[in-house]
Amino acid sequence: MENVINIPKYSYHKRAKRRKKTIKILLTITAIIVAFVVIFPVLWIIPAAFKPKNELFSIPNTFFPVNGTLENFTKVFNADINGTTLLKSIGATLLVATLATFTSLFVNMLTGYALARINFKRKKLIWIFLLFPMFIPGITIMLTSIKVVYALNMIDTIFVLFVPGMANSYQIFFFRQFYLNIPSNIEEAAVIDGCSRFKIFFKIIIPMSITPMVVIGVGTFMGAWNNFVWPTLTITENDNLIQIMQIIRTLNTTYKGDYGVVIAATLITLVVPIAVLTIFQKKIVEGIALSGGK
Amino acid sequence: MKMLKKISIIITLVLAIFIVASCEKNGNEDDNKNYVEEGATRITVYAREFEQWARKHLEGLVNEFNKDLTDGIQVQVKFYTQDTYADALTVARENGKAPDLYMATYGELYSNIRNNNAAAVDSYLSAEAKADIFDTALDLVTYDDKVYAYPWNLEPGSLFFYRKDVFSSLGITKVPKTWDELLAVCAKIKPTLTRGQYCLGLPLGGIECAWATYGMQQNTTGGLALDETWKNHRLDEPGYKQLAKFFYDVYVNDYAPTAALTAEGYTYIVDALCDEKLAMTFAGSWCIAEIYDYTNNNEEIIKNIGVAPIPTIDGDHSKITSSNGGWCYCISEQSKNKDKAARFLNWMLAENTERTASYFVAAYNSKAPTTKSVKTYLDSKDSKVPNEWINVVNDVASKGIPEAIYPFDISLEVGKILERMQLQCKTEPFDILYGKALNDAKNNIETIMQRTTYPSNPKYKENK
Amino acid sequence: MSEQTLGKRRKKKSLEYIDAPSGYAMVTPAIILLGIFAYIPLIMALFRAFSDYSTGQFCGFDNFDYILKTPSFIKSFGNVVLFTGIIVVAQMLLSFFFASVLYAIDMKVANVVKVICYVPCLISGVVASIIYIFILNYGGGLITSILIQLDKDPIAFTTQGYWPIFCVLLPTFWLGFGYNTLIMYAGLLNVPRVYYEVADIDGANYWKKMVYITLPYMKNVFVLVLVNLITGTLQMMDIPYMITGGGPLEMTLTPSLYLFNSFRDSGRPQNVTIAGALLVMILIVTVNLVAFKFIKSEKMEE
Repeated sequence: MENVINIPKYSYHKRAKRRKKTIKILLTITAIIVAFVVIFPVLWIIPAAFKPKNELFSIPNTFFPVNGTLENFTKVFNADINGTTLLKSIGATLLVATLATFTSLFVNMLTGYALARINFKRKKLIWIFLLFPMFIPGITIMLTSIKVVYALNMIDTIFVLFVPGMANSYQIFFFRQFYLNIPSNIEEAAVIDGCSRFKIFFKIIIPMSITPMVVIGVGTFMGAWNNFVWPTLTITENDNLIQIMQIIRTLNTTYKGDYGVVIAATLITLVVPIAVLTIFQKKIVEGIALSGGK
Repeated sequence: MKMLKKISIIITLVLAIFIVASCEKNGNEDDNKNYVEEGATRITVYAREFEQWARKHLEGLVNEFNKDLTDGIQVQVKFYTQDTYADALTVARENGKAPDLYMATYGELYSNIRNNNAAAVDSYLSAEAKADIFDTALDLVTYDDKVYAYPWNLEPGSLFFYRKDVFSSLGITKVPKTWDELLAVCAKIKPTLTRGQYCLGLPLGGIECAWATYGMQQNTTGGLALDETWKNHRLDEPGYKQLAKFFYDVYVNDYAPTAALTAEGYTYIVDALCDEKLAMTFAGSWCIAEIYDYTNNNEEIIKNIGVAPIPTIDGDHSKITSSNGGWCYCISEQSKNKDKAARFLNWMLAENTERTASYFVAAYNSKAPTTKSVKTYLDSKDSKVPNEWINVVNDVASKGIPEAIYPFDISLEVGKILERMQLQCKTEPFDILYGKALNDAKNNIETIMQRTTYPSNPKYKENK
Repeated sequence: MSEQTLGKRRKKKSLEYIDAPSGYAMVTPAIILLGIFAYIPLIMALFRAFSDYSTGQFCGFDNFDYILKTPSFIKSFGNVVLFTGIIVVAQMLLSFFFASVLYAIDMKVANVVKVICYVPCLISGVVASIIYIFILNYGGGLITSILIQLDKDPIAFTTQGYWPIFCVLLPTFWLGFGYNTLIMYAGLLNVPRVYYEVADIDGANYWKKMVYITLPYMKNVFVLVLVNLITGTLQMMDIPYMITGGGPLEMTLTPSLYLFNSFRDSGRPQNVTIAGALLVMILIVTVNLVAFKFIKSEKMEE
């Protein structure tokens, strides 16, 4: 029986397999090309940190600096920005970004889980209440937020840099979506066993949420890292808390047009996020592989 | 779990960096912070940070003032870049922490007065000091017969810079005074240029064309976009069409670049002039300081640059050719220490001629003084800036008109007309293009005038 | 197994609300935080939008009248709606397409490509703009350099023709591409493979599989990405600010940029700016509602 069926199927199968392989190769090449196009602009500006100002826009453009120089880096380190140094600022920004990431992940995941899995009265109302702020543009509440924060005596403290943004509608939406989509059998078993919701959350849910945690977490971290407008408005006297982007923006204006300095500063400050990304990208890979394989 | 371990490593790293960084002493021990007067009233000053020399100069002055540990006043100055200045000021006012003193342009001064943010300073200004101020400058800070700020400097907004070496190499002996002459010179220069070089630099883009052309508007049309009552626009004056035609002619012949040659703001025209990418340019007097800054005091290049009043439609340089921008110091209405703040102002600007003049010297004479005594002092001193430059600056400033204080949205409409000439001159003949641009501008201005809160001219008295 | 059904519990009715206290406890922090830092400022802003800046007194719609009679602001609205339309369509299509490509190729290669595409997301708006200035600058950018070497005339991207729109949309697209692709990709991975295998046995071709399996499962992801894109793009500001400053003849002016500059203009009564910002918010809410109507999302389904 099998022989009769296999023979015609075999050659069709082989052809299909070959076609599939060609397509796969083509797609892989496409992916690589796209990746290159995407990363190219970033690579292009790296040498700018080593070029003197007059070489930045010279014709013809050269990738490698003609007169390589480290003066941009010197300028960055010597810059005096209203009383703080670059290193201090990196430390401050790092601290804030880390705090922001962990606290907001915790709050938003918890909320998302509750909305997805637990039933309670007026849940729909609460859900809409928590969702609506997603549509409020930052600029609308910028001025009045300052007043609120000032009334709470948070100005010039570290709290003003991560507490207001801790609960985030988009993240709540995201996590709720995620939890709606994952199977609930393990949880249900635990509930029947008499586990409290909180215990379930910590012991079961968190380990299951590594992928979205990492994706959102990295996003939050970088958001806090690159934050500029809010710190400028709320950190007035406390020089220890000045954030990185403030320094870079100041450099951009002080050395107007000398983008070499700005790029140099950015490169120095990118070391940390890149380190973070490298550590976590393995987790991204693992996480996605796990969930995909189900 | 492996994850926990990684997280704890990161947290330790973070704390380590933070501790190391904060243990590190604040590297640049500023001598400026050495003078601390205990128990004194603190006066805060918000200053804009322009150039490094300006910042150092002000810091030096503040330090000097603070040396006196017996007067009960401690001055603290905070610098903000152009970007962040307005934000900082707004926020400070919102939180009830408005600075005692702050810098403003003469145009901003009027808004500050309207919003109740500037205090009248008549009581602090001695009669002698008041008499010392030039009329043109005093006029800029007086509203309703009250003086609201100390005029600090004047910056003519329209000057003409040109490269003498280019002129002499092409046998051009006369500096162009009229638009026709200017266009002729451009025509002569153009064939000798290589790619990337242009004959002339003009204000570029709607916003620049709005504020940098006040002088040209005044000269060509006898006024600005609105009449005295602010209830009617003046765009139907023939002068406006002529001004637009001038821009059209320049751009249709490719005498000027249509996009900035570098990525900077409007200062690129000066850098380009020094780099020989432009042969001539229109710029404000700030250009002079920029030239010294950009070329690092390179005498060779400076020798080859000439300054003159801008070419106008009829070449008559006795007429007004420029507006006067500039800066003044205001005392906040909310300040609780107005008299002490005024003490500092008087000390800095009115008491000692040499002290006040030191600013203008540091500024390479790119700003014009506002008081007669300072001007006399500067005239008597030798400066490394070529005399002809200083004379032109002073001359033009003495005749300058104030910048417009009606809503900027209206000035912007004029700017847009000129911008259209710049960008679309090759697509249509002048008359049609101008007709469209004029129509749009008139419609927009009329819309703006229909605002319920549209202001009236504070300097216009109804029964004049 | 029917356990896969989304969000539907199998508990007896009487036990349905037994977890309510935990539920309330879990959402309370978010409610308090958003209440204080989002809703209170919003209400305050509403108050201010209806009061006069210098006197603090109620002044009706004066502030709105001011901002609506500002031609630049009106123009910026039109601009941003156009930009959002273009970006949303482009991002949705291209991210989905590329995510599908990644899905189909070798896992290891896909991971590397994914990380590479994610890099632009780490870059702040300022740096992204500088990158593009280096490439597009008229005087000495990369493209100008190439054109001159080919003996052609350089193009003034920031002022010529419709190029400024391109100048502003390209970096915006570039910044969001990696992130959206990643999300789409994660969404694709969550579609249970069993369905594809069953479809294969039944002999379905690529398009049928796409329409009947992939798209329905991706609906929620699409909604998420769409809302995010719309809201984000309507607030576009950093890039036009750095690259074109609002564009020649206000071609690339966006409401947020206009308001940002307005906020910095100490001559303007700031309550007017707040009124303008509220109008932007109304625009965002409206556009999102319209988008929802078209997609008929499932997120309201409990």
